[in-house]
Amino acid sequence: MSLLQIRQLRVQYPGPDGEPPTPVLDIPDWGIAAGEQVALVGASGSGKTTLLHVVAGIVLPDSGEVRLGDTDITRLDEASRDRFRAANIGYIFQQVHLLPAFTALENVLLGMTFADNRAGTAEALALLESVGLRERARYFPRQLSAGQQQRVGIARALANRPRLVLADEPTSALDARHRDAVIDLMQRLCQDIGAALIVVTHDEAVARRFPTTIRLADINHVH
Amino acid sequence: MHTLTVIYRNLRQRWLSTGLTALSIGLGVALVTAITALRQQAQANFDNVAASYELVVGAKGSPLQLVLNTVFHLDVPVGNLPYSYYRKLKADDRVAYAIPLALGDNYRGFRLVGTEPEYFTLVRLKDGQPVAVAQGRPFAADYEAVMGSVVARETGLALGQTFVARHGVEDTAAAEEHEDAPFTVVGILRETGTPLDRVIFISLGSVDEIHQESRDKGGKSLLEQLEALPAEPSGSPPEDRPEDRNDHDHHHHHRKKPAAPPVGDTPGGDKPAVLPGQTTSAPAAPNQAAVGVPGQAIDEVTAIIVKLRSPGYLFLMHREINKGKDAQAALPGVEVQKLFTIVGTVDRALLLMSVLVVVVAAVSVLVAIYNSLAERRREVAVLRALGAHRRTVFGWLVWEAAMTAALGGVVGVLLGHALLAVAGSSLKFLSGLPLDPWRWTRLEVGPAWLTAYVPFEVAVIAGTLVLGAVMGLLPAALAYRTNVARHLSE
Repeated sequence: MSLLQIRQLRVQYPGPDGEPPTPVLDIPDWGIAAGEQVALVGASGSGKTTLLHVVAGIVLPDSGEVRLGDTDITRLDEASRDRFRAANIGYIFQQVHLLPAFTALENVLLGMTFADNRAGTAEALALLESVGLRERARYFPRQLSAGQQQRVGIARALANRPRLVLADEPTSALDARHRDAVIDLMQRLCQDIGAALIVVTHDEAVARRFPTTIRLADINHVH
Repeated sequence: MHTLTVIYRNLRQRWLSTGLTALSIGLGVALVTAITALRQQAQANFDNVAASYELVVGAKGSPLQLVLNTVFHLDVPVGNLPYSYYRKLKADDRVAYAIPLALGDNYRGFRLVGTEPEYFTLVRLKDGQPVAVAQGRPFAADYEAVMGSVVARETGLALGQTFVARHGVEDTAAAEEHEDAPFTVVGILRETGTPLDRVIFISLGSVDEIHQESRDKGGKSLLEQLEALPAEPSGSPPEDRPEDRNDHDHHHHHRKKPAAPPVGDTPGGDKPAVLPGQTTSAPAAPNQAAVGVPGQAIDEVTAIIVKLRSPGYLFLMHREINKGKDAQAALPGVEVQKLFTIVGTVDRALLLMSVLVVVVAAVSVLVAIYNSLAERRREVAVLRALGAHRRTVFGWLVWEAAMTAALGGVVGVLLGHALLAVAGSSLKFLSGLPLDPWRWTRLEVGPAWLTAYVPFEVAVIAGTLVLGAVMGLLPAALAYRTNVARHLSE
């Protein structure tokens, strides 16, 4: 049973000054199962990040269907999409993007706020413990190393026990040792909560750590 | 996470920008607060003091000057009235009491005012209580003095001690000292919170006596000094003007017969020794038969405080006196209103400028948030990607602007009152009117249901909050329209 199902997806960017739009994605049919862990590999500018944005409901496609479970995200209004994303999709960014005004703990709690998740501080601390940063819960991002920041980012993405975790080049700023540790951590935690994981990467070493590797060029008809 | 926590964290993150923006608003609010509170308290104080006096009668001239001089002990006198005028007024059936005042000299800047001891019992202040001598007794002879509470405190003079007055109402180094006419402190008034606290009361006879001696030595009277000034108070024709009846001293008060015997000659009481810094008990009252009732034997008075038997007589008598050629009557309450109408123009101009300062400062909230928006677009995008709705982010930014401005409002209100506390002591020194720097200020503009329950300070803080929110609308709208995908990818 597919968790994520994409059908007849078309995305194009408007062309500059009356030029025709530039097609980015044309994916007739693609999906992943619940709990599946996938590395999505592609060259820079191939549309990997755009695909993640479409799946997350951040960008609406020009046509097609993006279904997560029973919900077609493309048919939701913006407010519903935001709520749906907060509750069902965890997002891990390339440059971590922790909010500098908030502590590690608060960054995790913020993730819960938008999903009306009342679990609170205990749950957030437990998440930080699972990424090995409980003792750094009160630290601000500037007081953490790049690897530690990424681990907080992972805890934040998992704060609402999402069904799908999207990670956009999550290890591009890390050295090989930290890269492997972060990938292992993501895989383990997603497995623990039964979440599917899509990691976008251009790094073959990262892709090799996943049981399934999808090349975007294989599913996307725009080349 | 609570919205307030989010806003607090964001404000703290940009503490320098937040602080400076709030401070600039605070300075404007401080001015608005200080000006409003000062004007309101000054007006209330003036109204309260004026309410204790029904009618003031004096020489023809400016009624405001007459009231300021007689009731508030400010400014110079308009002129003098013949003592006979006072007797005639006192004998009028409609008059409950009439108390004469004669401007004397000063001691270390505190005015000496000649009057009758009845002043301390008959004049009721706003609190319904008489002026009242709290320590010692009222003066009963010439060269005895009853001091206001502030005078006693500031000069350190105690009962039984003596002091030498200086000529004129202002304390100047050039002023002549009445060295051979020292006064003995026999009483200290209760603290009234009025200009009376800064006055030294003496008998009418003392005022005259001291200047008789001065004239004997060739000194100039106060009016002679005043007449040297170019402006002459308008009023009655020269032949009718009471001052002109005496070609020597128009402003101080002549005896028709010799004054009461000097202090020290009174039976049973030697003149107390001058013991600086030492407090002694009040001297016993001299035999009044021997010294005569103070103030009864002079030619002129500066003003007369009048209380009528019925309020119905007030305007009648006011009109009657003003119709006459000899004197004018002034209503203290009306004159204070006039004064604040004049002052109000300046006050409004200052207030307008202060409000403009606040508005300009509020624009800085807009600028500060707008400037920070470039770096915050990515934060906004992250929040959106985490599931925050556009409206949530919009609301946070508006609240952030509102809270920054409100912080400025709070700082400004505190700063304004602190300013008042600093200025208050010197203002009290000048006017004798108390200023409570930490008292709530009344809201004067708005519907009755609002002004009745909401103090000015709360309204100002709420106002800055709203102003800040309005200023936050533009940056919040820009954040609302943030392209999430683009800023996440940057």
